[in-house]
Parts: sequence; structure tokens; C-alpha cells
Amino acid sequence: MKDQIEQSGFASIIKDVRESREYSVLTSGIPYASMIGMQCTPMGDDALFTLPNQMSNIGNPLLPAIHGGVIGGFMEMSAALHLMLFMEEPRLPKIIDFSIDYLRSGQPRDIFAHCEVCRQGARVANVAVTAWQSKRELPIAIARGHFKLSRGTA
Amino acid sequence: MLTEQQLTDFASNFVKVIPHCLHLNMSLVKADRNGIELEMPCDNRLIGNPETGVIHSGAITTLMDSCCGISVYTRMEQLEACPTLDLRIDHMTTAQPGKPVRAFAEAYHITRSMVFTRGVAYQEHRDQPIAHVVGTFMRIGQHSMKPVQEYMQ
Repeated sequence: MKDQIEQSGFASIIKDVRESREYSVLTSGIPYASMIGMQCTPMGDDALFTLPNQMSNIGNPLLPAIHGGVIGGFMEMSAALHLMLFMEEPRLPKIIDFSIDYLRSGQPRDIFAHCEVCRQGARVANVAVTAWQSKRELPIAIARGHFKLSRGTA
Repeated sequence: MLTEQQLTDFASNFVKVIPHCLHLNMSLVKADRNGIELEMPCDNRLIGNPETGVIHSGAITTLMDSCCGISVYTRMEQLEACPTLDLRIDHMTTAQPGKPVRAFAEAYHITRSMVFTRGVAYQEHRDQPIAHVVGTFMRIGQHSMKPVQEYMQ
């Protein structure tokens, strides 16, 4: 899948994935997403992002707890993929800034994330991300990011 | 205060015993009273855009969270666990592919319950940052660090 992205370009892959709803094409085609092991699955008209527990994502081996940076990276990647999949026309988001509030430590178990586009203008999108483990009402982190939208390469 | 040698030993151990830091092959460049400097080598697993080969911002978030998290100890009397309360990253420009990323972070204010940190990620020079970061860390007490010290020895 990585080769496919290199050959036909990100923009055309996104277009295909939006139609096929085979979101795993994106996560398996992006090396960073594969490295942390994240997954993206359709959920109604929306998408659910999952970060399955893996030893290499641990940040505190004693508690143990998942590295806060990985939780942040997972939420950033979720926000970017969400924009690629659900904007009116497929465009490539480029990160401007990202702000994460850590509410609970990440237990060594799956993390789920859901994204919401608060505002999408012509140039910039504002996305809110909620990450949770046991229950959605008990988030482990919430984040907000701004992304610049371009038709070219992100 | 921790001596600069204690700080250097702690920081160089930290990046080796934290599984995800080890996974990204982070290393300590310098640790002193002024702050902490880490390096993350160029690695194809960190790529966020396969078309351009640019690393994903999440890898920079992880590097900066780690660097800010260690910088907390430049202002501490003793080691104590300090979880991240929040982290904000402003991306000035995209990282250049094929080059390592360095991080510098300092703890610019400390209170009885909080530590305020800030830092930059850069590739060529510290005065040409690719990202700025501010992070707040919570002090949860000295008793919390005993098992950590034992683990790291």
C-alpha cells in the first residue's frame, strides 16, 4: 500500500478510500501510523480511530502507562485522517498547531479517538479530538488542532 | 538541586529505559542547568507523508514531550514523578526529510505543584526552529519517584 501511495500520489488514494471506505489503506500506507499500530474503521457515516496496546508505545514502564507523546501523535494523525476522509472535497491537511490536555494516564490497553470538525474554512480547519479507553464519558485526553488545507502536497 | 552529573546520568538513562523513547532511538545530547537537549535520528518509520518523506508531527510531539518532561528535573531538589498536564506545539515549518531532529527544552518556572516548560525542535540550528512547544507538568510528590529510581539502576 505504501508503494501505491508513492506511485499514484496521496490525493488519488484519498479519493479512492473515500469511495471504498477501506480506511485501513491509509493507516497501513503511512509509516508513522503503522509504527504506532493505529487503525481506522468506518463507524456509521463517521470513522473510529483505534490505537491497540503495544509494548513499544509505553512511556512509563512502572505504572505502566502509554507515552503521552504517542497519545498526542495518535490524536494528531486521527485529526488529519478525519479531515482527509470527511471534508467536502478531498484535500491534504498540513498541521499548524496542536494542543493536548491530558486528563488521565493511558493504561496499557486500546485507546479510541473520535474527531469533530468545529470549523472548516477555505484555508484552515479546526478539529477537536477526544481519546478514551474504558468509556467515552471518561476521556484520557482531549485535543484541538488547526490544519492548513491545500490542494497540493501536504 | 541535582548536580549536573546526576542530571546527565538521569537524562541519558531516561531515554534508554522508556520503551517508546528507545523505540525512536532518542539520545541525550546535553543536560545542564539551562535545559535538556535530545536527538531523534532520521528513521523511515516516522514518515507521515510517503510522497514527500517528511516525518509525522506526532514523532516531534513525542520528542518534545520527552524533552520537556526531562527538563523538569533541571529545577528539582530531588527526583519526583511529573506527568504531563498539557502540551501545545506550534509548527513553524515542516521537517526536512533525511535529517535528525533535535529538541531543546527548559523549565522556566516551578511552583510547589507545577512545572512550566518550553522548548524548540530544530534540525540545523536552534535559532531556526521547526516547532515551538510549551508544556505544563504536575508535581505529584517525591514518594512517587522511589520505584522509578530503583528501576533505573
